[in-house]
Amino acid sequence: MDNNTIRKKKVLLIPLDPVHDVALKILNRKLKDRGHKTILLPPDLPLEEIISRLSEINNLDFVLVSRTLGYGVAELLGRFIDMAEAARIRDKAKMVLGGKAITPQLAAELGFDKGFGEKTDFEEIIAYLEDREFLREKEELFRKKISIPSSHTYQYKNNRVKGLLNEITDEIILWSKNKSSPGIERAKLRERMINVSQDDSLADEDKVVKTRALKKEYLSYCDEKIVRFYEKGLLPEKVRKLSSEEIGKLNIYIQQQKKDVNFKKIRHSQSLPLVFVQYGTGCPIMDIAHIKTSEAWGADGVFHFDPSWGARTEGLLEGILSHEEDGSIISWENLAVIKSSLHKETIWTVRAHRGLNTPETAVIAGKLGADLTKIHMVYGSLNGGTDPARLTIDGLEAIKLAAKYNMPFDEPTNEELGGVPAYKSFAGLLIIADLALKLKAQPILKPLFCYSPDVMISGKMDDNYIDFNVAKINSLRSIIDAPIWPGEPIGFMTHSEDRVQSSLTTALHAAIAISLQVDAITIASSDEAYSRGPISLASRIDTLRAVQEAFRFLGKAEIKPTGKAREYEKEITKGIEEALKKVARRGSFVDALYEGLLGSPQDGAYPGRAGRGTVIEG
Amino acid sequence: MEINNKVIGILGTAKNTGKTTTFNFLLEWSNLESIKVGLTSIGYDGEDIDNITGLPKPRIFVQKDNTIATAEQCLFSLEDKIKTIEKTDVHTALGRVVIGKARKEGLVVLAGPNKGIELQVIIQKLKQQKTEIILVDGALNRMIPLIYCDALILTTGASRHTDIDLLVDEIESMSRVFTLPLRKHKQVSNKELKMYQNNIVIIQKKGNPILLKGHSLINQKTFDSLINIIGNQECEEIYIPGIISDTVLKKIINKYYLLFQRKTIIINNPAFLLVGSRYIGYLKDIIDDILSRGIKLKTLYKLPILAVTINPFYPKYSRFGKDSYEAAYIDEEQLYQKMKKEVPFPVINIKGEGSTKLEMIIKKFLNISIRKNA
Repeated sequence: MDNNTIRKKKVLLIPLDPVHDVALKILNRKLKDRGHKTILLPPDLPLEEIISRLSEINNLDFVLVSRTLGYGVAELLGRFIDMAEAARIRDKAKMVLGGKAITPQLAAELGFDKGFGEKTDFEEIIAYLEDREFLREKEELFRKKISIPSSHTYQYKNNRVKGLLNEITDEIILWSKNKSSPGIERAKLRERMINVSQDDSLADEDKVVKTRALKKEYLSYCDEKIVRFYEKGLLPEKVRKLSSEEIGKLNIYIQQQKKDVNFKKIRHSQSLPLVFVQYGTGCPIMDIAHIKTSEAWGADGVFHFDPSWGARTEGLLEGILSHEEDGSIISWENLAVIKSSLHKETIWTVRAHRGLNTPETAVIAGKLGADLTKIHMVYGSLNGGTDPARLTIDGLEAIKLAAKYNMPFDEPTNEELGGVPAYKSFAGLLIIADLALKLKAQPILKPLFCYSPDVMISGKMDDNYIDFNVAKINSLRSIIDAPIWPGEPIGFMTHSEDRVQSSLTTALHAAIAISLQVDAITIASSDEAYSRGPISLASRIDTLRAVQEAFRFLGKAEIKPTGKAREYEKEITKGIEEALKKVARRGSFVDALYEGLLGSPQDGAYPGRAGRGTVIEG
Repeated sequence: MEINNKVIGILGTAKNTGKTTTFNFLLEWSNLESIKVGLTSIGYDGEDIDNITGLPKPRIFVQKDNTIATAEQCLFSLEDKIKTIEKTDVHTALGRVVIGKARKEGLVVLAGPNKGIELQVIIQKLKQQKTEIILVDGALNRMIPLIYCDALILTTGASRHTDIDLLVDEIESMSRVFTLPLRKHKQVSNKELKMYQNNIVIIQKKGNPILLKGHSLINQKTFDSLINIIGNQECEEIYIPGIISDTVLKKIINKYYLLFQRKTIIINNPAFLLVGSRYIGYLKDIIDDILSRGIKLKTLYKLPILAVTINPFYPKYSRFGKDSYEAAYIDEEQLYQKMKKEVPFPVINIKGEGSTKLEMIIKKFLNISIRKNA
């Protein structure tokens, strides 16, 4: 509603508190700005005097009382309301109460016409006084799904690096010609099976026949564990199907959770970074509870975390499945039910990145409308346990699928946690990013904000956690204008079993990210490193709240690193160039992976064995 | 035999003084006697946990066909329990007041009209549902809306204060105020006087009444104008339609009593005198002083007090406890005996032997002994 069309109100503001009249002063200013006539009484006047003054004011529309609640205060307010009624003030004006611990129930008990608690948005009070509907600044305004790569050009700023990458990625594409794998074949079959099920021109019987034939072929590319499930209905250990009763209740829960959510705004005056949390408790029901809670507390996006054995198994299961341990099983149905629970503006990432089902996961994610995926062959083969050749070919296919389904993908450099130095992991990161750009996909660089083994040994974080993390971001930014999303989660290896400590380090690392205005961050729950089982919702909220405070604290201010940051940045950039030179000189990306040029056993990286020898030639 | 359709309000001196316990007693009794009962509250009652102390509170359990008036938000997810009869235009902080009928027994939360005029509207609507008794639960120490009831039950207890003498003083003061005599008709009738809502009215021995700006006598300015007039005119009565404060009364006693001697101060209703007092316990002494100086005090409306119920419970602030407050009690017998000695109304410990006594009082008030005998 246009401000000019609103009837101007006469409002009397009464700070009944001896001291706490700041909120009323702010409100007074805001009401005046909107053209309302206001009278702000001095604090702590006797009730008789307030009532006297009130009686003398004509055409009063509202009386706003602010008072912090304590024992005995209720009776004081009760007497005030009685006096106002006896003095006929209530005949003309509405009585509104605001303050700490005030709820609508309490306002009703005290006899006020309306009550506002301490955390109320001033705009909500103004909307009430202006008799218009209050549109909470929620999904409409600050919960907007945005495309992370859209503000980046992907232009190189370092031509030496650009040249080396070009050489390396040309070789990868050449190497991949006429190669396939069971993973790629399954992805193609999965895509066809989904297409059949979604083809309205087909009769149901035809669908059954076609799917059966495709499934038979699909199983020829699967491990025994998966074949047993499809042929005999036997689920892997610690996996069970949710009952129809559980699913029914889950759907009711989802519908309830979608009603009237009061979303927290996590950022303050900044537009970046977006905040992501990961879910993957093993059970889709718990996952959805985590997602809905995270959304409400301000998370912009969530991503799906699957069990590690899933990455080492050829083939995917079907059905809504619960897993007794960490990681939620990737199946069409699991992902579909999770997708159905998401708020429309929540950014959803399904990670494909590291195992034998990488392309197939990308197909399912793409078909279900995931916003992002995650692919990284270097990490997946050096620390994720998958054979380098196999993951290179599968990853390449997954990148093509990501481009096809318009899913930007992030590349986590978690090999750094094993001990690989940052510059080496960045060399791998940039190779995959360059490859993606050649395949018309949109890569997102994911350096770590962590206390890595390498910096522990080299002493680069002996003084502070800022310099080296800033150096990493600046180094990448000096090479290419690409989206940067520190992960995964930020503050990795700085967390302890102490929830306060963990929340604080997460928030402090978020502060660096805010100061650097990176595109996104992933945050852990405060018990993530030590939960020894599913993480708790309270801990999940801990870090979302802590990060919200970091945004509030920092605003548009910046964190200033020491001169060391610049030194480290140069070192990293130089290291990246050196590593890329070695890979280029080797003339084979895959061999470079096997031989440790992007992370060696001395660094703590070991080429994976899952899927070794499964690349199909010709 | 028809039962008088009476409205009984429960007025407390503070939170947790036993309003809802008394209310519940009357509710259960009405249901046992098959008296058609209508229920509402001027506050928020029936919640399981106190809004402030976090201590458990008495719930409100209705029987099938009980009529209730409560806010929309209190009926959330009670569709199967309460049938909505009417959504009224009376608004509360929890939405509009709805008139409903219980389809089956169960717990309800009552949050009804928060001011007198609106309570009147709701009472009428409850009466349309052919109720035979209407119970209005009070809130905290609030009293003004309850003046539209036909009779009140006062409740007090340790939650107001742990000093028994203070509790007795307060109820004594309230008794004194509620038993002030009604003004008798004179040349200016009571009916006429009731029309003056926005002015203090000075009734002269001869000539027309003089009107003074303002309806309440709570500030120096109005008091000065009043003194000015009655000092110069021969007046008999002064009618104050709004609040009269204890400060003003004390001024009259100490400084201006000669001016007011042989004159009558008329208040609209007892509650308007009570809300004007910061310390109700002192009011009895103030009234005594006023009367002893030859000044008369009368009211235009009267409201019978049926009984006083007492409650030894209070929430004690526990500094080191897990929760902020814990339940505590004062000497029940002492409270009862002292109260009984000083107060002219039946004193009842609602949780003790007193419940049958309250039954008799209510029966008499509703005039239903005849039905029982018939």
